[in-house]
Order: sequence, then C-alpha cells, then structure tokens
Amino acid sequence: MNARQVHAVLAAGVENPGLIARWRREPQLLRSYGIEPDTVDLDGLWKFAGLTVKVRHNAIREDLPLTFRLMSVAGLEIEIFAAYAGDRASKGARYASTAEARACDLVDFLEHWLDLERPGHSLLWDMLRHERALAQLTKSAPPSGPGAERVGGPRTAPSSATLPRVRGKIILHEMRSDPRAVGAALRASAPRLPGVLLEPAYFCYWRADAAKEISIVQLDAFGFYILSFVDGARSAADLNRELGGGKKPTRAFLQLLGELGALGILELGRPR
Amino acid sequence: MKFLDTPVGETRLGLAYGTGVPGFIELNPGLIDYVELPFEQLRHSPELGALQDTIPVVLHCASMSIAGFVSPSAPTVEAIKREAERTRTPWIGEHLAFVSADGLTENTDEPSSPTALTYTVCPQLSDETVERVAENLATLQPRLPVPLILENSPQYFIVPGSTMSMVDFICAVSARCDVGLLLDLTHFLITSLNTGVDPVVEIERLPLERVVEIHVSGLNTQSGVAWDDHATPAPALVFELLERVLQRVRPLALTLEYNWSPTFPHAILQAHVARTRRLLGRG
Repeated sequence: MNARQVHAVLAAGVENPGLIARWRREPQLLRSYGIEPDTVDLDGLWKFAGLTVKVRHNAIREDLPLTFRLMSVAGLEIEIFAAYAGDRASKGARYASTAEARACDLVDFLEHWLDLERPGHSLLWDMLRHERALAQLTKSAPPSGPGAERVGGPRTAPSSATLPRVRGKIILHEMRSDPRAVGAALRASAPRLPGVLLEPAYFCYWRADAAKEISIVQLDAFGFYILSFVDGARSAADLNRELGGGKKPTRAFLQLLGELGALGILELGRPR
Repeated sequence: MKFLDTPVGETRLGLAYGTGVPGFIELNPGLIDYVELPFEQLRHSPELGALQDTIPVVLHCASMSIAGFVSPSAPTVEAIKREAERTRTPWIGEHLAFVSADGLTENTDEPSSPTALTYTVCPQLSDETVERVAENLATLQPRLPVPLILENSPQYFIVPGSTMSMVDFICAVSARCDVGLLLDLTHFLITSLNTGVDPVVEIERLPLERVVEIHVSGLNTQSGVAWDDHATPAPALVFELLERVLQRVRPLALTLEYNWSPTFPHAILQAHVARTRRLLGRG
C-alpha cells in the first residue's frame, strides 16, 4: 500500500474521528483510497485520536489536577478523550481557544456522556465538579462593601419574616462521594479507589465576601435544599412553603437557618 | 542569553519545557543544564524566549514532517532556522514521524488541502518511507544552521503497509542517512509493549552509536494499549533501558519530559533528576 495514501487516511481519521466511525460502518470506503480495510486498526486509530485530544487539553490540568489523576488511575483518559474527539467531530465543533472555555466544553460533554452507574464515572463527575467549583470561586473577584470582612454571622434567632441572603458566593453540588477523601486517596503512590464509598453527600463551596479562603461545608439534604432556594428575595416563610412546608416555618427549619447564619454563609436580614 | 556547551564525553541534563519548569529551576539553581523548548511554542509565544536569560535552550520540533509526504512551508522552515540561530541550539530534535499529509477526498480528481495535525504520527514503516526520510533530510538539513536529529515515534497500532519493525526502520534510516538519533526510551518501550517484542533484546539492535540525546518520560496503559504520558513518572524499566544504553554510549544530552501537568510534583521530579544524575555519574 502506498505510504502517501496511508498517511493521508491516518491523518484524516485523527483530524476527524467521525470518519473513523464512518469507516467502521462502511469499511469498503477505505478501498477508494487504496487501503485494504482489514489492514487498518480503526479501534487503535480511534484511541490515538483520543490521545491527541487529551494532549490538547493539558492547559486545563492546572485547575483539574485530581480530575486528570483520577482519569488516569481509573484508566478512563483515552476512552473519554476518544469519545470527546468523536463528539466534537460529529458536531463540527472546534476546540476553544482558552483553557477556561475548553474546560467548560469538556464539562458539558461529560455531564451527558458519563454513566453515573459506573463507580469510576461517578467518582470522576464528583471530582470534576469539586475542582471546577474551587477554581471558579478562586477566580471570582471578591466583592467589597460594608461588613465584607465578617466571617461568622451574629446568632440572631430567625423568624418567619427573616430575609436570608447568601453572604459571598456559593456553589452547591450533590455528590455520591466525598472528593476530599478521594483526593487524599489519589495522592498515594498506588491509589486504591474501590474502597471509596458511594453515598449521597451534599456540599456547599463557599467564599465569603472578600475572604481569601474557600470553605467546603458538608450539609444534610435539608440544609442543601434551603441554600439552593435562598435568593435574597424570599423570606423564611416563603422558603418554607417552597420546600413543601406549611404557612408557618417549623422550629427545625428556623433552627437550621440560624445555624447557616451562625456559620456565616447566610445573612439573616429583616424584610425591606 | 545563556547557551549550552556540549563537550564530548559528558551528558547535559535538561527538562522539557512546561509551565511548571521555570519555578522548578528557580527553586533548584544549578541542578538542570538546559530546557528543551518546542519550536511551535516559541513561535506561538515568543516571550518564552526570555527563559534563555536564565538557562540555555535546546530546540525541539514537530513541524517538519520528516517521514511525511507533505513538506513544511518555506516560512515554517525559515522560522525554525531563525530560532535555531537565535537560541544557538546545538541541534534540532525532530520526530521521525509525520504531522501533515495529503487531504482526503472521495473524488480523487479534486485537489484538497493537506491535513495538518497538532500531534506527530508514526509513519508507515517501509522502504518507501525510508527513502522519503532521506529525501526530506537532504532538502531540509542544508537550510538549517545546526544538525537535525531524529526521534523514534511511539507506535500505538500497526500502520497499514508496514514491512518492518520500528527497530529495523530506525536501522534502515540510519544506514541510508548520515543523521544522529534522539532516542526516546519511553517511546521505545511503548512500541515494544504494543508490538509484543522484548525491549531489552531490541534495544541492543539499535545503532546506539548514533544517539545524541535521550528522552525519558512516563507511560500509561489504558484500553489495552501503552500510551505516552508526560504527566506520570517513568517506570523502572525505562531506567533499566537507560542503564543499558549508557553502558554502550555517552549521549550529549538527556531530557526528562515531565511537562504535561503544571502540577507535576517537584519531589518526584527532584528524585528522578537525582536518579538520572547518578546514572550519568554526576551524582
């Protein structure tokens, strides 16, 4: 077989993995390029295309070191990036020019591609969101204003009329693992991931106004959903109703609001 | 600007450029002799050239498609020449691979623009490609101020039409061309693993007397294939191969390629630098 034609076919497949998918369905197409279909390792070429796309994403490793470590340990890098290469090719989409945009595109893809019934995929989805949350909060410019330096909130007892507002910026994620524990396991020279339990866990990534540090607060389901509804416009009574409660907030509900206020995540203001 | 001297009988130790490398060099003054910089990165980000105020630079390249049938453009070759002159690199390492190829059209009567990749590909291992390498070298070498040396590709799958092994291909190129080699030991191990040959036996068949520079990096086995991975430490077998090579030849330079991850642990890098220095008799 003519080396020049062989190179042309391999390069075209790496550049556009959609062609590889087509050659799988219609192997006789390769004959029109002077290539015997039986001689082409299309599976190998598909995976190689994944490697090349993986390398093109080295810049996003800075914010996602443990995500990449997990992909490597779980043996998922090539599978993921080969699938991603195929997906981008099928959409005719180019790779974004900035690392941040590339990271966003990859997250969008993985959100739909990962099979969360597979433990490795589930751990990866959690770790990816964990590191993205930390990166996003780190990069967000801290707002300034009165009371910006306050970390803990006053222990005022909330009432139905209390107007909770998030102090600073939060990102909420419902997960099936604790990425902090997985991260610790990944730092070992020979990580053992199967021992990591897949249990529901609720995390609030929080950066207080003007604070340098980012706090990771593990919540119960109730606290998580309260925070997800807080918008600075709805009162405690409104939130209680949104969450399926009655007209008057229960003591437990108000107590939880008070605890979130004491932590400093919520400012418990009076209605305007 | 600092420039690398390469006396015969001594091996300089370098790091492939990554965003974490300048910080490592600053924290470990005198530990590293040079940084290997890809021409493509210098072309895209000329400000990287300032690195040479701190440490000498060796130029690496992935643009010449030495084993390919589509030649690099004249401006690209001219730009490589300029960088070689500016950096005073002792040589230019280039992949024994292709990075561009003819475009593919179903209608062969229609011309199509070439396919330009961002990553080099192992060529067809055949007499036809050996001849092409010789032709490309004959065309390119006179246009450059320093010698080209050729880096063995990692082989991930059998390339259609191949008639020889990677080692035979390298031997054939060496026999046909007066050219030095950049022996990437990890590529070599990857190829051995993926093609089912014994690397310890095969390495002895290489024309090691042609080796000018050595590359060391990590590898990762996934989906049934061994892959190049500059984000993981080199395995023990790579160092075993290095010891074997050093028993037969003293290369002028050895580059550790841990440049894919900006957060590659400094402790591991320091340990591998120390291990390599001991093997080079510079401990």
